[in-house]
Amino acid sequence: MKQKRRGLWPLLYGTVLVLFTAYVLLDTFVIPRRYAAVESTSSSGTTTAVSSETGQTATAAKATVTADSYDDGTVSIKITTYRVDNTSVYVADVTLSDPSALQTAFALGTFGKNITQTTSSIAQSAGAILAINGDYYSARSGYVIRNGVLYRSTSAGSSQEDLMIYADGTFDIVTEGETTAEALLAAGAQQVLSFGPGLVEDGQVAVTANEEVDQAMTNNPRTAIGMISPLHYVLAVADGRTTQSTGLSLYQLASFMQELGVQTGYNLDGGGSSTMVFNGTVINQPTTNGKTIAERKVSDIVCIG
Amino acid sequence: MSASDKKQLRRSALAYLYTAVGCGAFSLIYEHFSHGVYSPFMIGLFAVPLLFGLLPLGWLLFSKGGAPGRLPRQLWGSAAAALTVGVCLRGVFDIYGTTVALVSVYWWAGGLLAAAALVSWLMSRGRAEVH
Repeated sequence: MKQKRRGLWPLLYGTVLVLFTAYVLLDTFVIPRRYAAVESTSSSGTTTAVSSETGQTATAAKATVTADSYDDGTVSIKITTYRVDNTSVYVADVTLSDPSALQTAFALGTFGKNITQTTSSIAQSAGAILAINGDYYSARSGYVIRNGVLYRSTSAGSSQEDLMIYADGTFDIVTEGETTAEALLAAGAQQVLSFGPGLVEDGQVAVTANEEVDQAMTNNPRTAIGMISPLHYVLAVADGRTTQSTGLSLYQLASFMQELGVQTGYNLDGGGSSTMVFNGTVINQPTTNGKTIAERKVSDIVCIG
Repeated sequence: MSASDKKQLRRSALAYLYTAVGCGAFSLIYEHFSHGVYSPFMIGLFAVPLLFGLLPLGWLLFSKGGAPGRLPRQLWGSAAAALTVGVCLRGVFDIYGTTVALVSVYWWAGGLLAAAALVSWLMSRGRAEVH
C-alpha cells in the first residue's frame, strides 16, 4: 500500500505534465482559432481581395500575359531571375497605376491562429496575378493591419520593425516601440506587416553584415518587398537550402535590393515559407528541408490583384 | 549520512545525469535539422537537469546532513521536470519563430515546486535536529 502511494505523485504529476504539454503544442501548431478585427477605418472591411476576383476577370480580357510578364494597362509585371551569391533570386518588377492593386490576403479569408493555406491557394482565392508569402502573422506577435483594418494591436517588442504601406502605396519602416497600431491606422496605414527587419531605408542598406532574424545565423530562403518609387515596386524571393541555391543572408538580400534601386525595402517571412506565385504558377523552389520542393502553408500573402 | 541514503542519492544523481545526456542528444539532433536557426534555450537544455539534479545532490552527498526525504525529493524532481520541458518547448518555439505565452506556466510551476521542495527539506531537517 505504501509502495503504491509512493508512486502516486510521479504518476499524477507526469500525467498532468504530459497532457498540458500536449495541449500547448496542439494550441500552438494545430488548433485553428478565428479572431475578430479590432478596428477599421476602411469602408471595405473585407481582408481578402474577394472583390479583386471580379477585378481581375474584368481586366483579364485585355491583359497581355506571357510566362514572365503581365500588362493590362493598370498593372505591369516583369519577372526576372538573378543569380546572387550562388542563389537564384526571383524578382517581380511591378508598376501600378492604382495603389489599391497592392493588397494582402489571409488564408481562407480569415484572421486567426493556425489557419493556413499555400501561397498559391490564397492567391487563387484572392484572384491575384502575383503573390508572395507575407509575414506569417499567426506564428508571431506584432501589429497586424490589412487592407485598412486593424486586426492586432499587441506589440512584438519595442525594437520590432514593421512595414507600413499607406493608401497611396508609399512605404515606411516604423518601430513598434515608437508608436501604436491604432496610431498607424489613424495615420493612414493600409497595410502593416510585422516581420522585418527593414532592409533598405532611404536607399541605404539598413542591416549590418552580422544581423539576422531572431536566432537565424546562416543563409536562408528569403522573401522581401521594396519600393523603388511611388507605385513602382519589387517583390523578391530567394531560393535556399538546396545544392542549387544556398540562400542569402539579410545583408546580401539588402545589398541586392539596393542594387535594384529600392528606396524602402523590408524582409518578410523566409525559410520554407518563401514562395512566389505568378499567374497561378509557383515560380521559385520553395523548400523546408532542403530535399523536398514543396509549398509550405502560410497564414497570409502580399499580392497584386 | 547512512549507506542507504548515499545509495539513494547516487541513484538519483545518475537519473539526472542520464536525463541531461538525453537532453543534450535531443538538442544536438534538433539543432542539426534547424537550418542554422539557433536558440539558447535549446542549446542549454542539457544544463537544466544537470544543474537541478547533480549540483544539489552532489552537495548533499558530500555534506554531513542526512538525505532529504521522499517529499522534497519528489517536489525537486517535479520542478526539474517542469523546467526541463519548459526550456525544451521554448527552444522549439524560438526555432520555429513564434512566442507562446503558456510557456510561462512551466517557469511558475518549476519555481513553486522548487521552493516547496526547499521548504519541505528545511522543515524536515529542523524536525530531525529537534529530535
